[in-house]
Amino acid sequence: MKFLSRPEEIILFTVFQLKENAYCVPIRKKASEISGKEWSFGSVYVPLHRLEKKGLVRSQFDTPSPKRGGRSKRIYEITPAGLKALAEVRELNKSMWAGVPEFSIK
Amino acid sequence: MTRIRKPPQVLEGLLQYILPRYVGDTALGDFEEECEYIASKQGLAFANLWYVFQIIKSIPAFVIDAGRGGGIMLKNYIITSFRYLTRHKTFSFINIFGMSIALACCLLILLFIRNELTYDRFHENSDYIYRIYTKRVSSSGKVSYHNFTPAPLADPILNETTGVENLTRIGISRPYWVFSGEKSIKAEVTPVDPSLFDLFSFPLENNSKGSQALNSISDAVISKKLAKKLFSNEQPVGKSLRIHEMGDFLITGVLREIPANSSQDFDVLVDINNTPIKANFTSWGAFMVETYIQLQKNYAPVRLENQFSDIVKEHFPERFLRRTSYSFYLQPLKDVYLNRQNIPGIAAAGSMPYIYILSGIALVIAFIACINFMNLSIISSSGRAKEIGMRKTLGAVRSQIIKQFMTEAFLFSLLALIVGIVFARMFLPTFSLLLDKNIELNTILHPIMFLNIFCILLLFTVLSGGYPSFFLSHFNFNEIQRIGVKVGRNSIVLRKILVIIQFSLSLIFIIATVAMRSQLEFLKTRDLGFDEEHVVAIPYPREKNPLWLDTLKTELLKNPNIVSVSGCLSYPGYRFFSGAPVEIKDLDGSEKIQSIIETVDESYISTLGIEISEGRNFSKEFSTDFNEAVIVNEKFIKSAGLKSPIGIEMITRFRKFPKGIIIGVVKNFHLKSLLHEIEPVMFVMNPIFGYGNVLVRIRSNQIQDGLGYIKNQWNELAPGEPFEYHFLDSEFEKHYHLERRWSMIAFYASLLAIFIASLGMFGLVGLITVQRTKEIGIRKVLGASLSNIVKLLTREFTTLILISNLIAWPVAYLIVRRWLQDYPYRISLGVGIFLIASVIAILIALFSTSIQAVKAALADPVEALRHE
Repeated sequence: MKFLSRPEEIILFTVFQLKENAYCVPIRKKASEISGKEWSFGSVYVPLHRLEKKGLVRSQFDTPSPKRGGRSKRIYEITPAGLKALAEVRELNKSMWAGVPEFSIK
Repeated sequence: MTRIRKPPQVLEGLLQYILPRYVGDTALGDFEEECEYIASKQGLAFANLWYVFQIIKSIPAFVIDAGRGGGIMLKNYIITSFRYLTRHKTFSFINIFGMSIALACCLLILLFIRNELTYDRFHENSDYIYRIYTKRVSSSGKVSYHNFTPAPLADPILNETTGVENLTRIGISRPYWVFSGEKSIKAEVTPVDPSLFDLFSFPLENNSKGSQALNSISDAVISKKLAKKLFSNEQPVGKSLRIHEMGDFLITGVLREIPANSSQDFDVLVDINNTPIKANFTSWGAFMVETYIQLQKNYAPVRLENQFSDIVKEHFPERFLRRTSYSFYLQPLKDVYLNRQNIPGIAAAGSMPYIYILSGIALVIAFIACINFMNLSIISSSGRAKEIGMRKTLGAVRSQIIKQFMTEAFLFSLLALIVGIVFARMFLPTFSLLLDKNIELNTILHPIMFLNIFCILLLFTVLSGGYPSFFLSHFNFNEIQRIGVKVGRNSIVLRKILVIIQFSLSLIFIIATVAMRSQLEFLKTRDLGFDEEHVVAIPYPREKNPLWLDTLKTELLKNPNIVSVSGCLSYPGYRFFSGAPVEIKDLDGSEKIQSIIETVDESYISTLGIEISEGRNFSKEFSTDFNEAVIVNEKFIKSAGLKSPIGIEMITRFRKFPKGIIIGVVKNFHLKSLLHEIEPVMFVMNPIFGYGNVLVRIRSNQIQDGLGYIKNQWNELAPGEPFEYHFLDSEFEKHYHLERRWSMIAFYASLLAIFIASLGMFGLVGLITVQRTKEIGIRKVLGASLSNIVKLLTREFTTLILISNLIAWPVAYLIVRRWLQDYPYRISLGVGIFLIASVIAILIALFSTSIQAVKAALADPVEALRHE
């Protein structure tokens, strides 16, 4: 399998979680919530763009609304390949920690 | 209804340009949505700030994105620029040299501005410190402001108001002689409250608290500079210091060096409560101290200002309030140096106009340098047409050509900046001296300065590369291949206009310089109405009574080198207090005029060589002269409207000299510098304020001997009294230091302007000559003489310079006339000044154009024609 970078992984996860409402603003908010630190727009756009290139997400424009100055949103949606990749990451994390019964920083 | 909070259009446009293409339009929507969200939470200003921050953050991505397609091209642009630079050495030299000089100017002035704007910020509490200033409204409704306050104001403020954290008073400092052992030095002595050290951050040498240093009233704190002078390397703390006329003090602390951008500077600090000093500071009527307060954090200054009115009501003595009303306000410490609120009448050491004018000069010089780049780029474009054509053939679009030339302009500016920093380093001492500032280069490393310098760099790039890149990029490839580049009519007209602008600006500088010089010369040489040469003023010892003057006189006059001796209160060229009202008797109503009152003796008029136009001089023969005789000047007569002044009686406000009778009139002469108009003056023989100075006229060719003699006599007659003297003529010249400074600044500015402009013209003629090589060859073969060719090549520029004159003259006339308006005594703006300036400019320009022209004209025509 191809490894995802951590930002890509988080972004992919948020797209999966947000379902229909996955466009940049909520993605950024969600990602900030998960990681506990502020994500800039740039750090959202770039992984999204990369994920799209890899075919893990796909995007389409919705109808423009006046709220955003007449500009359309770009709604992202996770592809089957993306779901698979996410599942792999989950498995990977599991197997990575499998042999460690207890963990604390000493 | 929710208001839609949109980010500003400009910012949005900028962001759209900068954002990577693949995020596109939707991203703008995202940003807008977020911006609105932030605005609803933290306010619009914060949202806008956030927006700007986002733009800045996007810049790295923008650069990387540009590099995706353009990285290789960028490298190529840089390579071609360097190739071009090395192959066209003259062109590059002229550009970089001119630009670096201009950049050095900008850098230096930037440093100066930063220095000016950061005054007094080094104090830890600078945000909470305020200076109290006084507003006086007289019964006639005249409003005046004053940065001094009465000293007794401090106690009620400390005891009866809220919000004040701390308060300190700084009394007017005066020069005193200070003695330590054998050494004596004149130093400024400033009486202050010990709390000065709590309010301000003036650290002492050994880090001890300054407020404890001024513990007892006979303690003194001295500056490091003074300590060096008095004690060289010895430890000054614990030593005693005698201040002339004040007594003995114990040195308890040494001030560490005060930063250059402090509006306060001290030599000697003594406690304001020290008895002999305190006497000066007890009256509510004496506005002798500056009061600084430190407000509690978050306490609005207005709240304190409102409490001041109660203090005035309660504590101000009745008699002061009868004719005048007083109120007090706060001025932030940060604004004290520049007087940013522009409160009229408040003395400020710095000035905003000063900053504006200097920035203006720097920008003009920058502009002149950028014009060089523009002109030279355009005129040499024919040489680059093939390159551009080739690029277009290979698929370059217009925007890429623009990018290429902008890169080139940027590189040139960058190189110029590096050279410019070296120049700035070289000019710094001269510059500091010129402005009388201690400016350091290392502030360049400050982040804000860094940003400013970067902005200047961009400005230079856009100014110099903007037009050429658009001009060069519009060439049509087919046309270039077919007929070569034709520099169109428009660009020739533009070039001419640019040259005219350059020379007009330079000419304005030159005219201003010539005018300032003549005005300065005028001030220095104008007849003052008396003979100011070979006269020295010696401060009269304060401990001696007026009778001592006679002793001194008799002793001094024994020497043949001493022509005459006279006692007086002040002396011409020194400060005079503005007039006091004098009432003229026997005149309709109670006519009052403002008159300066000056104590003199009977030999004053002869010592200074003043002419008496009516009446007689003071004389000891008339016993009444001492008590009521007055001599006035003609201006006095004119202001009072007197027809036959002799014998007119007047009433003064001075208790010791209540009435006077005019016994004589002297011709007008200048008591104050020529920056002031002649005011009404009355001379009295009665030393009601004592004598302040002794004037001695020395035989003109025996100055040294005369001075030596006076010194000896002085030491004998007044042992222990320091001897110092001032020549009256140099005292007058001291007043013109601003004029001298500005004429020097104008001189340097015009020197640089004309130099850079001529450099550009030199380059232009050079490039034109190369283009016309064949034409010149043919003309020479057909019999044209050297002068024909030179004329041919320089004619265009001579015309341009003449046109520049037409533009520069009226503009300069208006500027110089405005500047001269502030002078009561000024030169008349004749054609001469303009002619001199023009001749200078034309000669320089002709010289720079002719070098190239003559070179071309002397070339062998065979060489020129063999070209193909």
